[in-house]
Amino acid sequence: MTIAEDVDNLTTNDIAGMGALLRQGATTPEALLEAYLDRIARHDGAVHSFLTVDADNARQAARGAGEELRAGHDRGPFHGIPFALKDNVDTAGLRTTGHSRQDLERVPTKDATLVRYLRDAGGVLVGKTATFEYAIGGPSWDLPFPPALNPWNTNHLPGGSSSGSGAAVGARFVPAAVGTDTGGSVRWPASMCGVTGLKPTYGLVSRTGVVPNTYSLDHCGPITASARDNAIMLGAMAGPDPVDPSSSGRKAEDYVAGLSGDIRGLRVGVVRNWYAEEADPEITEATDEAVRVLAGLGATIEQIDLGDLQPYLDCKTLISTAELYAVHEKNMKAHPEWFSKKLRERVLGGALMRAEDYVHAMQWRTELARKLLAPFARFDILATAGWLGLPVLATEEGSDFFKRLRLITMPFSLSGNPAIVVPSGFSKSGLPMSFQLAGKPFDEATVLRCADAYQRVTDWHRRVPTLA
Amino acid sequence: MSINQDDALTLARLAGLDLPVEFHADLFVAYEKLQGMIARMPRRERTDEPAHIYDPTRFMPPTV
Repeated sequence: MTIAEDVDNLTTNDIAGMGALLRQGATTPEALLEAYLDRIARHDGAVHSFLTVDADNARQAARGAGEELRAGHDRGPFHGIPFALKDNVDTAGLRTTGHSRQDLERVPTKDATLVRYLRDAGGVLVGKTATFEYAIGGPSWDLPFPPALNPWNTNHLPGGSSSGSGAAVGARFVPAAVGTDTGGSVRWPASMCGVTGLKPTYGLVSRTGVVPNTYSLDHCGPITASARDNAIMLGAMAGPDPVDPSSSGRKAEDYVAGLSGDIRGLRVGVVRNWYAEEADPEITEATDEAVRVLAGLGATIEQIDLGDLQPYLDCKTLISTAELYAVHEKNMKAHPEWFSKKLRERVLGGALMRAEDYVHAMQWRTELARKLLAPFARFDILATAGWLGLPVLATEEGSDFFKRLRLITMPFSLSGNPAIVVPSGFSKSGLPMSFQLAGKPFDEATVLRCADAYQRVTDWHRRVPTLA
Repeated sequence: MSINQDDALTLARLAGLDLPVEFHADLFVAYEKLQGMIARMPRRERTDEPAHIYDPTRFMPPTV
């Protein structure tokens, strides 16, 4: 049975599996796209993951990808694969709103560099996904689009700010989506939606053409069901960009090649003090169990204490507050009513922040990064929880930033090294949980190998929600 | 040193931000949270400057 004939039975069709079907001629990029478009049409009305579905151009891209494959021109493992973009990533000729009323009619003339890379790899852009306003102010109910909801239970939120990308992959509306991550915005929604999300090393993926949140901390990364799919997508979207001053200049690696399943002797430091007391007890239990699985696969496990989370959170938020205000100053002065209340509350502090406090925050960032990276002299991986709580209810009260649990993703946002969240189970209430693995800068290969090894012996990432 | 709401509005005006009254509460919420974080932030010695580096090669035009 082909994917097109069985559109809801997508659970076993990872990107590699789809690629095999495409190359066997068992399905086509056109049929694959139609399967996903059909699923979006039937179910996204309840999830609100997409702001724009670009079906006509997607069909044209799929047709082109199919013709190339049939002519023997194979662009690699992402060829013919449907994907979505968070709507803060520029797309030539297709509106890019940042989920804001300020840019409702904004149509970029150029693709972001990462979009060009994904198209060059043969990817088929399906559409643009919901986000918090400009990747920080949300979820908000006072914007032209509703916030995305969690496909596992639409009474709950999917995390953010890459909320639509996480929800769309969780719902299997697409097998791959791009998110952006400044303090955890790839990893949080991936965690809430039962999928795998990677924040690559700062500078590995270009940010040219991505609406800025915090210049010093912005990352772009892949959200997919599995670590193996993540490796395929990262290989398609990473790479040098001379226009982006933060670009490392490094070429993408073949991240799939290293997925051996073998993590014997891998040295894993477990940062248990970040989650043991503060996380939901079910998450603590699931994270401890995930660590036991890694040990069972031959990794050596040792606990490490990296101090309290609060300094990392304060430092990140101070840097973001100053830079956010610089990004939004012009419109905030002229039209504060254009912003959602949540974004105003995040941005306005920057107007009163002193320059010397920003300088001290940047210096603090370096100090904290050194503290976080030092353990990699004796560890290959640091492991901790992916998020401290379960998905919250889709209400204003439940989604108040200043009342959230502390963000366990933020330390690695400051240090800039790769960090991935991996599904680790489900709560008694049926909501997803995850754990997090961080590696040395530009050692995405080891992070992905560890995540993939875990997923070879677990099936949490293969589970798919029942949609209304 | 903490400041009161009138001080916050004055500082905002000096920064060129003349907010309509309906948004004053948003400014106060934002600044209250900021004050706590700034108070917890350590200060470095004046010679300890590891953060603000500049690599001029990043901005060279492409070689022809």
